[in-house]
Amino acid sequence: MRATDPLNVQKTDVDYAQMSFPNNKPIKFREVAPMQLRDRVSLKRLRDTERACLAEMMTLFTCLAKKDFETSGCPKEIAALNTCYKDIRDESMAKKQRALQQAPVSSIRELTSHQANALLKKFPLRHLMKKVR
Amino acid sequence: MAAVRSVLRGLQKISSPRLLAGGVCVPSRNAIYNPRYIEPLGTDRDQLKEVLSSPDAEELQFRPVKAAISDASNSIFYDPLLLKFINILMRKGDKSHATKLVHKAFYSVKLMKDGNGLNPLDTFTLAIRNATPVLETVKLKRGGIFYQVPVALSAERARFIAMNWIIEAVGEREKPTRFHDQLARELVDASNNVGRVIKRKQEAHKEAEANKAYAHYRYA
Repeated sequence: MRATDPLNVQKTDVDYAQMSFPNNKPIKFREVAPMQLRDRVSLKRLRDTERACLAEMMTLFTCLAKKDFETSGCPKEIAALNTCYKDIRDESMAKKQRALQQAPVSSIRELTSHQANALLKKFPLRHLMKKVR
Repeated sequence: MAAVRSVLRGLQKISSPRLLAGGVCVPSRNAIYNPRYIEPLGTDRDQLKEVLSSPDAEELQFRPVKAAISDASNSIFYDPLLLKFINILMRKGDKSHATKLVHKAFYSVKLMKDGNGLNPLDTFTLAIRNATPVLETVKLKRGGIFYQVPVALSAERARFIAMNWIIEAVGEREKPTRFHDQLARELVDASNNVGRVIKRKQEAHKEAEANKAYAHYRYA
């Protein structure tokens, strides 16, 4: 607190006794929301996390720089990059399609938020917790 | 030949295990077909016979068929690549005009001395292949700063860029030159791996190479 602070506050606003002796009493805990996990998760966007085809791209750059940016000089590298990119796209498409299914399939390892919600709805946490207790 | 190729492409799609397994609908622009739909077969009798004698024939008889492309034909002049080019060239829906321009350009190609003496359609195909880029840079905002990030291209996108570059190069011509003459010039140049379009492709690749340090931002 600055020494001039009391000059800036109105007399009615402040309790000077409070200011000189701040309230050190422990705050009493109050349970605002029930102390348990909810049966839903917030919705998240499906993200592509892989850093795709970077190695192929770098090899292509090296080749292009060597061949003076003549694409005819590096057919192998270009084909490698294209197939890699195509595979990644197909895969992410399949992933999106899998994510479209609301009910999770047992074989899926990564759940989308929708699928997690579907699972949680089927098997609410409070029943699980009861069993644990 | 092109018709045969399209039929074969259709057959490849039919015989792909994913489709036969009855996967999920894959939406493409403006059209969603159930995966049970097969590509329309051509009217080539030999091809049809071949299809009907194949082991999938019985299954195929009961498959619904996608609507055929209105331009598709079994003519020997049918070329999907050329049709795509005409469609990209087309302005205000005037397809006959676009077609005329391309045909005039092909006529000019035939008359050109450095035209390799090829069939103009071959010159065109070669030009597109030479002009097709492998990478492009896209502007991405990461951490408040815009970066030019090199990305790989899908085949369709790469094809579009090549065709658009050719059309844009023609658009930059000097005043008295006619569109079809300049189009012929650009096509021949590109087929010889020289000229403005090829230069533009190389510049695009150089820009991608200069920004290769940011390549991982695509997925960051």
